[in-house]
Amino acid sequence: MELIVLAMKDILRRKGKSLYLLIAIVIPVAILSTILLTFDNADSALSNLASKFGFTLIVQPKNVRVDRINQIGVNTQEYIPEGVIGEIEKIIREVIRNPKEKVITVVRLYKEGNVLAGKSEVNSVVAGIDFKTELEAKPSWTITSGRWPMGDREAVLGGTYASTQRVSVSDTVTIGDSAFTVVGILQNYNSAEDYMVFAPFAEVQKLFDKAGVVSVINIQSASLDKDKKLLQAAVEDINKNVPNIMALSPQQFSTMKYTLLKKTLKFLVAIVAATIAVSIFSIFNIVTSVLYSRVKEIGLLKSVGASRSQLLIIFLSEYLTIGLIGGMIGYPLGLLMTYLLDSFLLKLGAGIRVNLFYVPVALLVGIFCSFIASFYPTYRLSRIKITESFRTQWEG
Amino acid sequence: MSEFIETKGLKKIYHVGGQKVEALQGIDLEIARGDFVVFMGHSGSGKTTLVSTIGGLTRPTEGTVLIEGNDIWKLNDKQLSHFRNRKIGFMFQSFSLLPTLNVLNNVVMPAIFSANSGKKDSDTLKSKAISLLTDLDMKRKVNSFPSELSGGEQRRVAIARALINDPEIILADEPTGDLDIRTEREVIDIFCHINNAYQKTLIIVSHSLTWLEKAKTIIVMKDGLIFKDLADPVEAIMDGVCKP
Repeated sequence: MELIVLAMKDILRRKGKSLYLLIAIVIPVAILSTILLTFDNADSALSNLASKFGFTLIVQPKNVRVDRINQIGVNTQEYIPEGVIGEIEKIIREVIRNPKEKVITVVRLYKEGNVLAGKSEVNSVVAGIDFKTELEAKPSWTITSGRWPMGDREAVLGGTYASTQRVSVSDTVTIGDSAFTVVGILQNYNSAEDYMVFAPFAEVQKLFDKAGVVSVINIQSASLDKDKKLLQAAVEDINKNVPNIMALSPQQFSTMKYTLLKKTLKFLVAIVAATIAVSIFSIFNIVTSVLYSRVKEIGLLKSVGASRSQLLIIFLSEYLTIGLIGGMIGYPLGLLMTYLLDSFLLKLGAGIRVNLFYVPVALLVGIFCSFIASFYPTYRLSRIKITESFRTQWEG
Repeated sequence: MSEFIETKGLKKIYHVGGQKVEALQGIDLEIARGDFVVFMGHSGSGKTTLVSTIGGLTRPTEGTVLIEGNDIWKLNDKQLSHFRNRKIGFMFQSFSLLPTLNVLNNVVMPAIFSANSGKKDSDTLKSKAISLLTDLDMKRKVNSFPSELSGGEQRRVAIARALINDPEIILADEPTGDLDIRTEREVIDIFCHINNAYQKTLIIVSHSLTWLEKAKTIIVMKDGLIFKDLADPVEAIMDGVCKP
């Protein structure tokens, strides 16, 4: 039998108190794991979104808050004059220095307005797009039924929009005074586009009296996709030379969102810190009460030759083992909580990733909580005088 | 018998509720190797304090405790723990055994604290523990837990534990305090056996006269001082320091 075995037998003997300690450790570890895993998922969802977006570079009016990548240019009264498109393309050409490379420029005009769809008129986001260039840049864009528009008075609808308004292919939607035949229904991409009406760009400009302006310019370039330094240079040059616009890359957008997430994370870390503090306080109280109920046992161990350091080893082994078990339970519990949070609340859609790096983090946090809370009472009790320990009224 | 334990000017002062209580008022004492000493006296006479000071459990306020000429109170915590572990086997009236461990592990327990520094073979220790338990007629209970044992059986286990590291001194504070007369006699006989067969120095604190028949030396304490050496046990009864 060794000191550690003695400690393990004590854990099993005090099942109730050990369970309380375990709960006090599992809670902060599970919360921490949930936050870290959720943060990871959000980051992953963001990256997926950015990569799925399909464009290398986005140009939007300056001073417009960027919230969602698929909503850039939506719900804003700011527009970009069409005249800058050539200027932007010129800058990109200068940066990539390859006259043969095909650079695709896709413009969109977003406008909110009443649309008669099916039997009811609803306020909708109408996106004016050039279907041909849009599909050239985004060949993966798919319609689930119908076809892509070929005429001026044809439109396609976002999947959710069509289903909520009960509009199908061949029906008519009326934007302002103009009727458009629905020729296709888009696949849902879990984005703002699922709720939009897509009509030919020039028609939307006319309908909303927005000739000569666009909401957003999307650019696709293979060179810029491959070389992040070139992309960065293009973004900087555009922002420097073209007034009243803001160019950014989807990666930059991710970074911006990442920064936002980091800020959120700071708040969440504060919550974790508070949870850990409460946990340490609870563990401290439990350990103190348990140890004071064991003073006679401590006296007995000392009388048969246990030194202070050996007592510290026995008791700290007990509490650190519970901390370790707490970490081992806390992480999968955090994983479960992340899954539930994502399934029922956040719906990030990135899937839950089991980040193994967080396993040692969870274990260390469990051990840390346990150590911080138990060291002082353990140290104090290891120094108790033997004769005093036998006089105590506490009973184990 | 050669001189073995010596105390010089041993004083112990407790501060209780702002008042000084002199538990030991300068004890000079010599105990020979292989002696069987029983300390008697009223409650509060200082006998437990004296014995625990000799055993390295209570630090004296003044004076020295010499075991084989070495002042044990000059040792640091680790050395003193080692001294308690190797030189002394303790027995207490209550809370002698750890409830989490079975009889065998309770007996082996002191050895794990020395094994930690000396790497003893656990099988050898277990064999020795079983041998001691057999000697004390407790072999059949090696896997029992303390809660399953009678008072007398618990004392036997505590005695086996006190002997596991083969200490030279056995210190027992009221080892038969809560036992019936028959069991008390059995336990005292075991102590006699230990004294005779193993040549251990026994230092016992007790109120019970039953010890008087067996002890080689009887020391009566009163008010923190050694009252007198008893030649006649009846005298102790007359002095009212022992229970008849």
